[in-house]
Amino acid sequence: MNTPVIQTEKLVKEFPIASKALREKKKLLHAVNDVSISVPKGGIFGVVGESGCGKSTLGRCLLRLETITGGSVRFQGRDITALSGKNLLPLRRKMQMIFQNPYSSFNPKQKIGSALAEVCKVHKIPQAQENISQLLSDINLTEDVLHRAPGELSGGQLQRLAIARALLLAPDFIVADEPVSALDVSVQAQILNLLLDLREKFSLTMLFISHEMTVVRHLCDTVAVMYLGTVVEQAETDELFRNLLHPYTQTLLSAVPSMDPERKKQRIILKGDPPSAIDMPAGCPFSGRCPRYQPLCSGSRPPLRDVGNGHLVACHLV
Amino acid sequence: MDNLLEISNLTVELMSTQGIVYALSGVDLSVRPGEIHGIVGESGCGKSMTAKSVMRLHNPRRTRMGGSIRFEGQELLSLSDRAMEKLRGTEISMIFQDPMTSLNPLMTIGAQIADMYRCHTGAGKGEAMDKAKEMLTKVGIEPAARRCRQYPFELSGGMQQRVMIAMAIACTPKLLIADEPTTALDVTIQAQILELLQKLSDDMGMSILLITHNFGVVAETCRRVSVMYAGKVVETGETSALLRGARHPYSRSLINSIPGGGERGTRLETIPGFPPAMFRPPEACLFAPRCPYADDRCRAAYPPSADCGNGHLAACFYPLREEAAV
Repeated sequence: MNTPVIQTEKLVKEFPIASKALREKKKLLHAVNDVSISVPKGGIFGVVGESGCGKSTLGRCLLRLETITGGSVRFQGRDITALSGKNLLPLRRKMQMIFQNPYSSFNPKQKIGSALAEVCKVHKIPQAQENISQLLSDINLTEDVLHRAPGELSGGQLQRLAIARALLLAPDFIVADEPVSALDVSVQAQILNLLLDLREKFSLTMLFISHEMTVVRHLCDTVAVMYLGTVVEQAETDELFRNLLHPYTQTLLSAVPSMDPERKKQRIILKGDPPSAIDMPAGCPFSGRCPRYQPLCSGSRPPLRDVGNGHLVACHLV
Repeated sequence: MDNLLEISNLTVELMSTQGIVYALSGVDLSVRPGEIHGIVGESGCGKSMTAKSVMRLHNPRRTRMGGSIRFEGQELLSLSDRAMEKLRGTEISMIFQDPMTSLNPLMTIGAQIADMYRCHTGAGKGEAMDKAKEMLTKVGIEPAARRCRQYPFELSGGMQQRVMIAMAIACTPKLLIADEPTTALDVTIQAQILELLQKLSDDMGMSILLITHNFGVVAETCRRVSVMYAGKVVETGETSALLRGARHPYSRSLINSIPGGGERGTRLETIPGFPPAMFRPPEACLFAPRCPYADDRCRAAYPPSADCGNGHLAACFYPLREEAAV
C-alpha cells in the first residue's frame, strides 16, 4: 500500500493557560486529544465540528505551525514531529494552507501580482511568471487582477487567488481551513467547483476543515467528526452519512437547518453549550450533553473502534 | 387581512465619496400579524438596509429615503424623531448578528435589561430588575437571579444572543427585526435560538422579520419569504412553495447552488458574473446580465411583480414554471 501523505498517531496538543495566582497549579487547555488520522495521496479528508472543537489546531499541527505536545506526525513517511527552525523550511514548500478570510490573508497594501511573485522569490522558484499566468487561467481569472490591490477584488476572487497562491509551489498537501465559510452560497458553489476541478488536475491531497456538514458531504472522501479535541466518529463519506452512529454526529446533522420539510420533525435540540476544554469531563467528552446518556458514559473514555466498513466510532453505546 | 408592516416602493440612497449609492431601489414587502417573514439574499443585496430603514437608523444627513413604510397603518417615514424614538424598543425592536458588540461589556446583563426597560416605561429600579429576571427566565437563562449579575464576557455566544432577545422583547413589541441572529453561532446553538424565536412568536403573537442568508433557516422558521437582489425584492411567496419551485431565475439559481441536493462530487450550479455596482438607478432588470433567459425586453425595462397565484410574486417578465427543468 502507498504511504499516506500525512499521518498522525495519537496526536496531542495542549496549550498552557496563564494562571491567575502565582501558586496556582498550571492549567492546560486540551485542544487536540489522541487524534490518529491518515490522508492518502489524492484524498480530501474532511474535519467537521463546532467552534472550539480543535479542528483548526489539528490542521495547524499537521503543517507544524504549532509545536506538538505528544504523539507523532508523519509527512510522506518521514517523522516531522520534532523538526524545528531551518529544518522546517523545505517542508513549508510542500505544505500550504488556505484560510477562511481572504481579505486578511493578503497584505492590503500589496498588489496581487507582487504578492504572488513574493512566494516564488522566497522559495526560489524559477519561471515564476509563466506559473502565475498558467494558474490564473486555471482559476478563471484574467491577468489584470495582478495589478489590483486586494481591496479592489471581491471575496470570491480573492479566495481564488489565495488558492492559486497555495498551488504556486505545487504542494503535496494543503490544509484548507474553512475556505468557503465567509462566502455567499453562489460564490461558495464556484469555489467548491474550483476545488473539485483542481483536485482532478493536480491530484491534490487536502485536509478540509469546515463546520458545515453539507459542504463536507459534497466535497470530501473521508470525514472525521470532532468534539472537544477528540475524533468521535470517522468514516468514508457515503458510509458516514448513510449510517450515523455517534449521538453527537446525529445531533449535529439534525441541527443543520434543512430545506426538506420532512427532516424538520426529527430535530434533536441539545441543551447548553459544549464544556470547556480546560476541565475536561472524565468519561466521554460528550457525556454532559448526550441525549442517550448512561451512567457508564462518565466512567471511562470510550475508545475509537472500528464497527465494520472502516467506520470508526467512539461511543460506549454503539 | 391587514398587514402589520407594509413597505412599498422604498428607496434608500446613500451619499458616498464616490457618488450616490442606490442601496434600495423600490422594495415592496409586507409582514402579517404573528407571522415570521424571512428576507434572504447575498451580501450587499440590501437585506440589512431594509431592516435599518424600518427602524430609521440611517444617518439623515447622508441618506435620502423615499417610498413608504407603514406600521399598523401609520407612516413611519414622516414621523417626527421623537415619535420614532417612542416606537423603537416598545413597538418594534431589533436584534443583531453579533451579540458581543451589541451588549455593553461594562454592565451586568441584568442592569442592561433593566436600564432599557426603565428608559421605555419609566418603571422604578426594583420593578425593572424583577422584569429583567422574568425576561431572562423566559429566554431560558437560569437561574435568573444569579445570571443577571454576570457580565457579557461570562456568557457564551448563544447565551449572549438570548440576552439580546430578552432585551428586545421586554416591552412586548409587535414586531421583532432579527438581522442574521444565528449567523455567528454554531449549528446546535442556532437550532436552540431558532426554536426560542419560534416559541416567542407563538406565545406573544409577535411578528418577526428574520434576515438571513441561509435558506435552511428560512425553511425551518418562516411562513413567507422574500428574496432580495441588488436592492430590490425579486420574489415573495409562501416558504414551501418558493423553495419547491422558485419562479424568479435568480432565486432558482441561488437555491440550486446550495450543496447537499445532488450527488457527491458533482458540479454545483453557479451564477455567472457579479452583482451590479449600485451607482446608477436601475432602469432594466438588474439580474439580466447574469440571467440565461434574458432578452432585449429585460434589458429595456424593470419587470413589474407578477402574481403567479396564491400571493406568490416574482419580478420577472418570464417567470419560470414551477417544475421547469433547469
